[in-house]
Amino acid sequence: MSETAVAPPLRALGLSKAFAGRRVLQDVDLVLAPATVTALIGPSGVGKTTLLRILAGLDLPDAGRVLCRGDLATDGPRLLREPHDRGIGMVFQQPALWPHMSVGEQVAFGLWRLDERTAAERRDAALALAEIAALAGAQPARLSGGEAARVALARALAPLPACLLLDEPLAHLDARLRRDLAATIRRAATETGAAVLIVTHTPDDLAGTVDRTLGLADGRLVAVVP
Amino acid sequence: MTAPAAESRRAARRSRVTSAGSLVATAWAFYVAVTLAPVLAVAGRGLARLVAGDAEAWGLLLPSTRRLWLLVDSLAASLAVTAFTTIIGMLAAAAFLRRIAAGDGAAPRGASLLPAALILWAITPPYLHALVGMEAGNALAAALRAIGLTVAPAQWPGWLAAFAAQAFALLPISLAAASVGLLGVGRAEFEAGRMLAGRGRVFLRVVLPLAAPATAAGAAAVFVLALLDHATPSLFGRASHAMEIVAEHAATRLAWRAAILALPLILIAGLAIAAASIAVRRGGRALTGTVAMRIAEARPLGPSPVAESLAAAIVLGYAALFVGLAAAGLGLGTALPRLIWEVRRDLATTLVDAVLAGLLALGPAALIGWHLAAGEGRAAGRTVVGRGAAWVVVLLPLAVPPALIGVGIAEVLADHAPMALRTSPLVAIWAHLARFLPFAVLVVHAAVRRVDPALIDAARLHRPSAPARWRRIEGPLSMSGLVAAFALVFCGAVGELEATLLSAAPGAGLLSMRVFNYLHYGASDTVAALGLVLGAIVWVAAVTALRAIGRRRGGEP
Repeated sequence: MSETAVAPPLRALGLSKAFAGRRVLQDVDLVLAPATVTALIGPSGVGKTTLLRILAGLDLPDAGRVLCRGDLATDGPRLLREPHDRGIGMVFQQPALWPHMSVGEQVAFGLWRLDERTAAERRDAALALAEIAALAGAQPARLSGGEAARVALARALAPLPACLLLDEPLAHLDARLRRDLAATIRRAATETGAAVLIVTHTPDDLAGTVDRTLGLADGRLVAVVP
Repeated sequence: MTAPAAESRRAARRSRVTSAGSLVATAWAFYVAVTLAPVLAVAGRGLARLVAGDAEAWGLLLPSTRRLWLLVDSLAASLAVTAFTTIIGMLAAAAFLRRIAAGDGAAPRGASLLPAALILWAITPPYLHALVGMEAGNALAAALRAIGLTVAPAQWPGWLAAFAAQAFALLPISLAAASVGLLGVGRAEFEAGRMLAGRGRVFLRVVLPLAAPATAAGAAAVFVLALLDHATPSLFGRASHAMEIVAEHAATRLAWRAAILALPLILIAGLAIAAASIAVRRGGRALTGTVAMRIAEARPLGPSPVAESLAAAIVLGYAALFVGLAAAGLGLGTALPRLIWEVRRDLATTLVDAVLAGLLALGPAALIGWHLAAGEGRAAGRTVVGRGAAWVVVLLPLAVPPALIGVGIAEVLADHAPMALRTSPLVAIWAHLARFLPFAVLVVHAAVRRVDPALIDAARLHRPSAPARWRRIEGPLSMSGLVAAFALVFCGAVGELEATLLSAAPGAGLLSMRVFNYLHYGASDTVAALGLVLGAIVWVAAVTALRAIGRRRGGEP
């Protein structure tokens, strides 16, 4: 199944998921358009992270489909495209930096399909976009929380994903860093054309950053009017 | 409170602190006397001759072509065992964790079964695996004869047979180390990699480096145990450098000669242990929570489902072979009770010896384990050099060939003890403590490290007296470590052979010595049945200990 010509970066159709009999997602439909930032809000435990993980291919739904750039990537409980093969970048709640790699190595990790020179150019561009070019040789243990969050963002952006999923990336930062990182995310969406879906507990931090806000309640997505 | 009363309290507190310090010092002295003194005594004599320029001593230290070849051969064999167990262990661990993990937050199936199975496997004496190898060789030879090929077990290459016996005896260590390493990889760390690259690349670049310290520790343990083991290769007629120590002592009865021959092995084993220790200290990850909790979070971390399944099939196939032969031993029917009756004295001696060794190990292991952990958590007034020296003392006995431990104990007793003591069961207990007390210390230390420091800090506020704190708070919190330490020494003592063979008087009446002697005449129903009895003792002890530990942790392993 392919709808590449008119395909959005990411489309979810009828996603449903239950844990131990408790329905977390119910017939969730979602389309993300290029160069847009969508916020996903909702109370803890409502299923926001579960939705992101299903879109990324890290978990499987009980029913429903996920299409990445028009290609069927998940069909019910069947994984048709591996997580790294979906054109999706993801930033987790914790930066999840690998302690044995420098910042430059982390950012270049996903560029293995490219030749060395192109990969180096792409790595430098991602570092510059995340405003951490000076940290290329630094080790993760020496980074502050804000710097680590930017490295995680640069690592996800480097392969130029069509879609970027961010799971509460601002959660552990102070107010100023949250504002700065939100602005960087907005710029990344604009400059790379990526469709961004960002899960947050604090929508106020994303004021002026997001194009639309969705809420998850009782397993269903609803539009939230700002 | 009056001034004299306050002074009296302070004096009492000082007295308690001093007595606690004395207890720890006594524990260290006991440790050194039991594990290192015999070896240092004989090694000292050898070193004195080397320093004096004794040509005979230097001739032993500088290896002849034959001994050099033997050392190279032993290193190659140990490295081969290490490579096999590390690779199969890593792949099989990935396969088992993938199968066990429910992946959706549900209670993992078999989460407590995997560690229990690995522990039961690991505490099974190596020569019982040799017995399995002999039985399997006999069966294969019979099958080959049936199709017209005449390959007798005696014609099987000893190198290969000894490799197989050692590899499968030590495989659970690698499997456990790989499991610990894989469980230490954070879920987000792995998934961040999976968003960017395939399983193989993520395994090589992310999972393997993060799991490397634990894997290296397992590899070092396997390498050292294989290198220092003389009993298993000797059963298959393979010469080894460790066996050379035994042969030299048997031929000359001069312990210093055995000590000089052992020096290269001690040096190599010491370097391996030091390297693994540094790797663990620098990159090791403490596993928080229970094993079941960690397994519940496990992801499919391995590089290839096919390779992982193949490794798992090798592990399960061997386990099935072992259990099958054990079941065949049970099939001896009426012969088994008769045999147990015949060896009842050996059985009783073995059990009493093992219980006493376990009990004697508890005090020193508890005190030293806590002492080491206390120096790591906070600035306890000890220098880094002091802590390093303490760890060298704890780990050094692990680098000593068990044969030299046996020779050292025999030599010290011959020089200083009356005949009645030399022929008493205490000798075997000493040998067993010398072998397994270091492991008991490590187990208690690991258990103490798992205790939340906040609990100890809270106890400090209410019970400033160290002994009272230990009795009411710290002791109970580390009880699972003490149970594990006792079980480890008990199980080790039941099966221990190499140090006992050289130190205990002939006819010491231990089951392990009887099994080993029978094994040299080839596998038979008798030795299979005795092996089964021996295995049953350690398995029952280990299961009992696991259940006790599980109860203390609310049913979680």
